[in-house]
Amino acid sequence: MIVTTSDNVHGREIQESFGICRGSAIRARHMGKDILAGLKNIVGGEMHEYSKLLAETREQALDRMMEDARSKGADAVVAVRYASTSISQGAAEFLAYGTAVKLS
Amino acid sequence: MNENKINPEPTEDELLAMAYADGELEPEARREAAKRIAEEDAFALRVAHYQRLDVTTRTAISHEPQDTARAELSREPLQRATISLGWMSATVGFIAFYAWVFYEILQNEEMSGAPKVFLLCAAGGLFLLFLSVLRGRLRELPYDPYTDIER
Amino acid sequence: MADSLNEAPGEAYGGEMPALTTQLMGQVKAGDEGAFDQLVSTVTPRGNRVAHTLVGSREDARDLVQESLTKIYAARESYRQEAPFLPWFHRILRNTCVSFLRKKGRVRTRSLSSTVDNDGADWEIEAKAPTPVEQAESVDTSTRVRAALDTLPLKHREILSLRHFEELSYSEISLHLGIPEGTVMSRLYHARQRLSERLGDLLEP
Repeated sequence: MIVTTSDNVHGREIQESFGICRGSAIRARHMGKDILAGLKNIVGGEMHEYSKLLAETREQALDRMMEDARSKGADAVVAVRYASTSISQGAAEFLAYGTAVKLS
Repeated sequence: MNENKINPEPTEDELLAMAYADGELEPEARREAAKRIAEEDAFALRVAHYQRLDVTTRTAISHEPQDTARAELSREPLQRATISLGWMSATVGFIAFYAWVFYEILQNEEMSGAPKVFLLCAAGGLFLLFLSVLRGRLRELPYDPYTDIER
Repeated sequence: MADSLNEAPGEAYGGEMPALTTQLMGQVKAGDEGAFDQLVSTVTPRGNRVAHTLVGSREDARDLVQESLTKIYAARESYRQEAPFLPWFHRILRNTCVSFLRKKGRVRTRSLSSTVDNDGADWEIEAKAPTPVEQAESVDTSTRVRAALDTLPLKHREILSLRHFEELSYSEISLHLGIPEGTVMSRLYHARQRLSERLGDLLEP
């Protein structure tokens, strides 16, 4: 499935538009990783535990958005945007949304 | 590697699970497969397997220099011993401490019986809830494709 | 020429690439050199990425794609109008990569395992690409996936590259390689089986 942040797909025409498709996810790491990440606050450096958490959440939100688009009958998503909110501490929250379209 | 191993051809079901995970099914077939995922555990596990493989492969990116250092460190016996010892010590210490606090409160003669019972109920209740959540997580873990992503 | 493997000023997206490249090749056969330039810029980005998965080195991948395109230009007279361009290009690219790997001594032949498609023994050749980190226990996921991919037969690496990195659909892969969709699914299944075996415990939840 073509997924892009631009409004159009180079070389293809948008045949039909199905409106907004979206996917979101909130994930947490287990307490052990949280504690280790917290200790990083003392020494500094990349918090791999949280980088990984963010990546997992990002991919899940993206997959859900594509699934939403697929269920509408689309074969591509354009104008994709990511957004992040803050609902819980120590959790990564991701929203991915875009316009579900059918390309010619 | 067994040179003479003949890889068996995939079954219809196997290809269906793969096509579903790849998003290649027509809407009607997709709905049918989604129903089967809800009803058939074995089928759901196969779909989850392909999803996990897809997610792990597509997010495999280039090795960064710091990755080598991290990998080497995580293999070092001293590091592993430090971490294991640290966790064991901290966990035992915290559990023992809280157990002691509970014991002291229950032993406390100045406090009447009622608050002690309430405290026990609250603690016991929270512990049961924690167990149920843990069970839930362990149950759904085989179906979660997002556990192996690095960054 | 773009510096990065991934910059694609002339790259066409999925659907129109098979038809476009076939048309351009027809023009090249007729003597149109401008068409050849456009053909090169259309197929090079994806060719680079697929070749990279096959041989492991970006520099080598670039050279091999150039070499393949040179061979194609040299053989333009023999190009048949009715035959689609992409399968031909991918076949030449694969063969070029195989010769390269043979020369570098990074090839290990295996006996044919049973497959549905009728490709020759070449397809069962595994390339032993040198990896800086072998399959050690605590190495990160990405490295282990790359290492596992490197040990797969060329045919499987090719289809995994098209599916997972190029994100082509079954029908697009079928057009690129010139094989029926059923074969695409079967080959993908076998490739993923092998990859799962190599990754082993990594895929356990």
